[in-house]
Amino acid sequence: MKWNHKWSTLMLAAGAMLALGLAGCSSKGASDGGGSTGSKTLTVGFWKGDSPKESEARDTLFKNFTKDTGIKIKQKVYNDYNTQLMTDLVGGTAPDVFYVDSSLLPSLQTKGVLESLSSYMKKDKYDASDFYAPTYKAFTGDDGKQYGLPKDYSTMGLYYNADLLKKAGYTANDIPKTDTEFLAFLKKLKTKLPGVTPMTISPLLARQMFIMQSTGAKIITKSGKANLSDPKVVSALQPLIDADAKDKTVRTFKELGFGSAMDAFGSQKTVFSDEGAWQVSGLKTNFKDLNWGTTEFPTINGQKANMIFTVGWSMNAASKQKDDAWRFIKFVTSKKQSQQYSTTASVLPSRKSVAKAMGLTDNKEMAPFVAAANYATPWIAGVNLDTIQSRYENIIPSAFQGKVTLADALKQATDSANKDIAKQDE
Amino acid sequence: MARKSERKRDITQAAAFVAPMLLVLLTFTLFPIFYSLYLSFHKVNLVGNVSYQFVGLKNFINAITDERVMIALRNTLKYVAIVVPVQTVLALVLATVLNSGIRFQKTFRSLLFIPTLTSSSALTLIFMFIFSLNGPINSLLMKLNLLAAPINFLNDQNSVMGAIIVMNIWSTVPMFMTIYLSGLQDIDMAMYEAADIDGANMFQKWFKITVPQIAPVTNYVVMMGLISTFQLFDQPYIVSGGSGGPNNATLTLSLIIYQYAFRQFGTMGYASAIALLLTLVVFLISMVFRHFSSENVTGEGR
Repeated sequence: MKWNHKWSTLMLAAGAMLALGLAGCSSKGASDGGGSTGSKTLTVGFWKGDSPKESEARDTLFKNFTKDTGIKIKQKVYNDYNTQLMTDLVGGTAPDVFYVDSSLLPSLQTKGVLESLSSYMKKDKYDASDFYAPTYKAFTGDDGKQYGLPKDYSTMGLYYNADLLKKAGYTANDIPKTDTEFLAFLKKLKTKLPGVTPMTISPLLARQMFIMQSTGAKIITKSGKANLSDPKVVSALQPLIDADAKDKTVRTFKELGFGSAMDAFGSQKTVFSDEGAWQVSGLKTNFKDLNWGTTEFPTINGQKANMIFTVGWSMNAASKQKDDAWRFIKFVTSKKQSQQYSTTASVLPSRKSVAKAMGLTDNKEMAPFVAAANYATPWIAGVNLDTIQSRYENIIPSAFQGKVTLADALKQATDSANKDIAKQDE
Repeated sequence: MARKSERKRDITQAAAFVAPMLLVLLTFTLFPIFYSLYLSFHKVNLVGNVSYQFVGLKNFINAITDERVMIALRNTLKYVAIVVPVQTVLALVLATVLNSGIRFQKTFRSLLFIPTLTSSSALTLIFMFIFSLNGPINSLLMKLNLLAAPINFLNDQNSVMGAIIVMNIWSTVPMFMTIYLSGLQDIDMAMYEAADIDGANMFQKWFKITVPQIAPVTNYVVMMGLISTFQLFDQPYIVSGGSGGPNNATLTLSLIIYQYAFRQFGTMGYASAIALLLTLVVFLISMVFRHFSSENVTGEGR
C-alpha cells in the first residue's frame, strides 16, 4: 500500500507540473511584449513571398534594425495570411507590427485592430510626400488617419514572347496600343502561329477589376456591397470573355493546363501574359532561355488603366511596445533601408526618390510597371472585398469556358455575395 | 477505518491517473464543443471590439434557407454516397486477395499501404498534376484514342468532383483494407474447410462466409468512412483555392464553414450553426445506419 501511496503522490505532482507547465507557457507568451530593461524583442509578422531573394532582403532589414536599435526581432511567418492573422487577432497573439495588404486595410481599420500612425508621424515630422500617392493613400483610413506605410508595390504589365512575335513576323513595336486593335492583333497571331495561344490570363478579380471599372461603374456600391452585375461592369468585361469563350485567343492558365500564368508563359505556348512585376524575377530564375520583354497595357476605352497592389507595415493596436513598433516602421520605410530591400529583393520601391536612385525609370523591363504607378487602380474595394472576390472567382472560370453567360455569372456572384454581406450586418 | 482510508487513497490515485487526460479532453474537446454551441445562437464579433449578441435560432433558419449551404450539402451527400460504398467494397476485395496467400503478399500489403502514409495535401498536388490538361491521364486517353481533345478535369464544373472522388478513394482504401485484413484473421478456418468439403466455389465462400463473418468490421469501416467523408475539406480547398469553384462544384460543408468562420468577419456564429447542423446530419445518418446493421454474426451467445 505504501508503494501505491507513493505512486499517487508522484502522479499528482506530475499532473500539477503539467498544469503549471501549460499555464507557464501561456503566461510567458502574454508577457513577451512586456519589454523589461535589457534586450527588448519586437514581434513582426509577414509572409514569405515567392523569391528567396525577398527573404534575404528581409533578413538584412531585420539585422540592420537590431544593429541600429538593439531591439531583437521575433519573426512570425504567415503561410495563410488571411486565416492566420484573423486567428491571431481573435486570440490576442497578433504581432506588434505586421504586413497589411492594401485590400484588407478597410476591414482591419474599421475593426479597430490597427493603430493610427498619424500622431507618431506628426511628432517625428515624417515626410510622406516621397511616396507614390496611390501607395500612400492605400493606407489612409476613411477617417483621414494613416494606418500603415507602404513597403513596396507592384503594377501589372504586358509580357511578350519576343521569339514568337518574330516567328509571326512582328516586333515589339507592332504591339497595338488600344484594346480593340490589340484583340484584333491576337486574332492575327492565332492564325499565324498554330498551336500557340495568343494570350494567357488569370481568372482573378484582382486582375480584372480595372477592366470592369473602365466604363465608369464601380464593382462595389457606395455602401460596400457587390455591384458586379451592373450592366456597365458586364459590358466592360464582355470583350475579354468573348476572346476566350468565342475566339479562343485568350485562355486562362488553368484552361491551358498550367499551375500558374508564369508557367504557361514560360512554356512558350503563349505570346502574351498579363502579370505583375513580380513575374520579372521569376522568369529570370526559372526560364533563363526565354526571350521576353514587357510593355504597358493597351488603353482600355481610350484610357490608360492598370492595377496597383501594395503591401505596407501596420502597427497592432493592442501592441504593448508601440514606441518600438513605430521605430521599426520608421526604420524599415526609410530611404536607405527601402533601397537596400528593393534592390536585393528586386521589388518596386514605394518611394519615388528610391526608384530614381535605382534607375528603374530607365530600366527596360521595369519602366512599364513604374509608369503605371501613376494611373493604376489600387486593389481596394471596401470591407467586403474578400467575399466578393471569392464569389467572383468561384463562378468566373465557367464564364470564360462559355458554360454560363457573363451576365448570369456576375448576377449570381453579386446575389450570393450580397446575401453574405447582409448576414454580417444584420 | 483502514478500509475507508484505503478507498480514499484509491480514488486519489485514480484521479491522478485520469487528470492529465481529462484536462486535455476538457480544453480541446468539451470546451470547444460547448463554445461553438454558444456561438451558434449569437452574432459574434471576435476581432477588435469583441461582442456577443443573442439572436436565437436565426443563424439556423438562415442556414436552412441559404442556397449555398444547400449546394454544399448536396455536393457533400453526393460525395459520401459514392465514396463510402466504393471504398468499403474495394477495401474488402483487396483484403481478401491479399489474404489468399498469393505470391509477394507482404510486399503488396506494404506497397498498397503507402498512400495512407502520405499527407493528403501532397497527394492532392500529385493528383492535380495527374489530372491536369497535359498530365498522364489525358495523354493516356489520347494515345488510346478514347479522347479527341484533353479534358480539363480540375477546371470543369462537371468533372472536378469526380477527380476528387477518385483521389480520395485511392488514398483511403488502404487504411480500411488493413482493418479488414486483421478482421479476416479472426474468421474460423474450419468454416472454409467445411465449405470445401461441401464443394463450394471461391465466390460462394466469399459471399456466404467472408462477407457475413466480417460484418462487425464492415460496420466499423462504414461508420468511420461516413464520418470522414462528411468532413471533406483539404482536396476541395486546394483544388479551388478556397473558393469552392468552379461554379460551386467543389463547395462542401466543411469548406463553407471555413469560409464563414475564417475568411469573413462577423459570421463566426453562422459558421458554428452550420457546423452544428453538419454534426446533426452525421449523427442522424450514423444512427440510422446502426439501427439497420446487425453486429450479431453467428447468432450464438448474444
